[in-house]
Amino acid sequence: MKDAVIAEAGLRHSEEVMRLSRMGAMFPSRLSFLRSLTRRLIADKSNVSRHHWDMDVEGFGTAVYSVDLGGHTYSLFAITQPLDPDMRTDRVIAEAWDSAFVLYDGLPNALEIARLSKNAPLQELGQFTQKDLCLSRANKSVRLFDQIVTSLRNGADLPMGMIQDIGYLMRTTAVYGNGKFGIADRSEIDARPGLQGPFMAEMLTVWLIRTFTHDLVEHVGGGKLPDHVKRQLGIGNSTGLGMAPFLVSHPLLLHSWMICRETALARVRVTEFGLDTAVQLIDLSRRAAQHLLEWNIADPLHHARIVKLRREWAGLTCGLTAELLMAEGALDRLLLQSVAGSEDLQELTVSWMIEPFGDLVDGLTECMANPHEPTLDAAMDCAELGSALAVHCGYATAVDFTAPHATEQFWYVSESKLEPRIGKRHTEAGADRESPLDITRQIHSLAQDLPGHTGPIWQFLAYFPQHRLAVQRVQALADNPYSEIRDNLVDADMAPVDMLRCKLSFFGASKFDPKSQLWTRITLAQGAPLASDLAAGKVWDDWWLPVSAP
Amino acid sequence: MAAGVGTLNVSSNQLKMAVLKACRGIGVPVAQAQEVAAAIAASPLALNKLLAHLAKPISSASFDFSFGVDVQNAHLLRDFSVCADAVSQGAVLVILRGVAKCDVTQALAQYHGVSAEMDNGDLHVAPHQYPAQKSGRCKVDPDDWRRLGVYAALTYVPETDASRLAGAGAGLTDND
Repeated sequence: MKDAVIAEAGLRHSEEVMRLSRMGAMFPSRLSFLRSLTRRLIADKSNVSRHHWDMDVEGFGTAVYSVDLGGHTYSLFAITQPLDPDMRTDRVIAEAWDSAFVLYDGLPNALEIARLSKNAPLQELGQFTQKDLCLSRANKSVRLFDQIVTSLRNGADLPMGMIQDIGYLMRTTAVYGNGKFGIADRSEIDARPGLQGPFMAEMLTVWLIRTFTHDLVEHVGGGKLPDHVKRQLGIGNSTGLGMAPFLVSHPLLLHSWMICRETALARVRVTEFGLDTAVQLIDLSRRAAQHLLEWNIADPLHHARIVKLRREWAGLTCGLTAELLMAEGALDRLLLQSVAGSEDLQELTVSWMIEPFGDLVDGLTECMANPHEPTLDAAMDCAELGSALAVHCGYATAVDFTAPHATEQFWYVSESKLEPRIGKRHTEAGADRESPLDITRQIHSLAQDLPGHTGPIWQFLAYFPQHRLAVQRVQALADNPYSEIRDNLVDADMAPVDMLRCKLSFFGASKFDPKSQLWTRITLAQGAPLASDLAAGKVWDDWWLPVSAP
Repeated sequence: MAAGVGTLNVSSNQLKMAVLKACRGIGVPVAQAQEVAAAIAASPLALNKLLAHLAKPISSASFDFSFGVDVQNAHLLRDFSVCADAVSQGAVLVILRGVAKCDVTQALAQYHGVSAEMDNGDLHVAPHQYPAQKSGRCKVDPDDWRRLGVYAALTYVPETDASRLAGAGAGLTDND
């Protein structure tokens, strides 16, 4: 962490922050990656151009959009094709999609367009080069796409209710970066201005796909959508277990994301501000209330949380006045009040409080990239490691792993589809090939084997080589307290959707729509500036928690 | 086919992930597997020789710390890490008995910032400095890549009806 200017005592403790249930209650904030990207696009006065559009009347064909960012030109290649409804699935195992995309480094010529036309629809089975920065695919929201096309063709009213409820014309089922399937490694672009932050290339891909979906529905419908309606249309995403392991596999990156957010909160809690900011906070609290009212999902458990949150939010923010908010320590007191409510309330409060303070917190986003991984401090001795376990790892050592429920689940990769899955350890085969996401259990096991050993830790690891990862992770915790999820990821009650929500909130996702404990749909870039807004200079960075257009 | 004259163009991360899985597949602990993966990604010419090490069964090694580190019955992919640790902590004589110098020992040595040279039929590990390494895109022999995939597949779990329906992520239909 390069910018930890707030003393750690002012930060919420990692034991509180890094629990799965709280991570599963997080909301997007102005530190989210899509927000950072759009701020950069605005600052660069980036211009999006449509260089190629070869679509038939049904909207099947190819397109290329380009955008200048940080002194480089990037292009989105898009291809759409007819899809049998039987083939349309959110699953990562799908083999065909309504559309496929490549974020391309530069502007593709005709030869490259031909190459991309052949390979992009194949996705994982395609052949890609270092010019291909991201690979993605998406399916239409068939109901909304068809309804808008019908409205445009007939000159009828747009289905504003559906637009509000669904919020996107297409949803991606994967956005791959960093060398997957032969595309460019992140190291090729991570020093470029505008792409240094985490997942910036992926966010640029998503934002450009959104632009493409607007153009496509207008092309097929033969009419124009008003800009305020287009801003309502973000891009959907369907996310399953594949996203969850990332948070476990990149502990120092997770720490960087989390400590930036916690540092932002710590700064805001003690800052003094004037009338304009107080009024902005009140406006944002009303927007949040409207957002919660418009956020309706089918899953009864998660919808019950939203209903409760609406009540709690009203209780926390009703009666707020600018004078009350400007009183010394008012935000800190509000945050403490929120602790009496649900974790959903607390995390919404955090995102809300951060929102008006761009000058105070936006610089933190420069600290959110972290290419490092934990390494072994071979100089540490066994006694020191024992102390570190005692100080930092009570959450792991306290678990009774002899209880069957504590090891009920296991993570694995399926042989036939190569997709991450979760199995039941005591009733299903395959635990002997478990993916190593059981960090809490590994730390617990280390703590069991360490007592009685003395001397340097590297000698201990000669006899117990299986503990090397756990030792590295424990050592990392001392300086990176937000690097570990402080829960047992193989417990019977562990819900992967909590990990998904944490990561997706950092992307900038909203309208979480969990379909089970294993996967969720979300909306990205809803309310974000349009490419045409950038061109017209009508740009703003005020789209936290999208609400329906007035 | 000689190493380095391959025809399959892969990203550094692709190679790293494939090596990581392959090492895990044969039972190399995950942290050591990560180190091997990073080493091979930085020295992709070592991929062919890695396959020979992946084919060796893993069993317990024995360590003698009397005069530095003397390792018997070592598995290079598992035990090189602790030898590099020992060197970093000032151990003077660090020996992997019966391990021969090859592209993989050199890749691991570079990654860990040590040297690995033969002396009397054993591999001796000692302090050394290298210029900074940078991983990048590389060409690999398609047959090597296929064989690597066979080891990686040892981490995959065969599918059942139950796992396909209950253990996976997103839903089966997207027609809404």
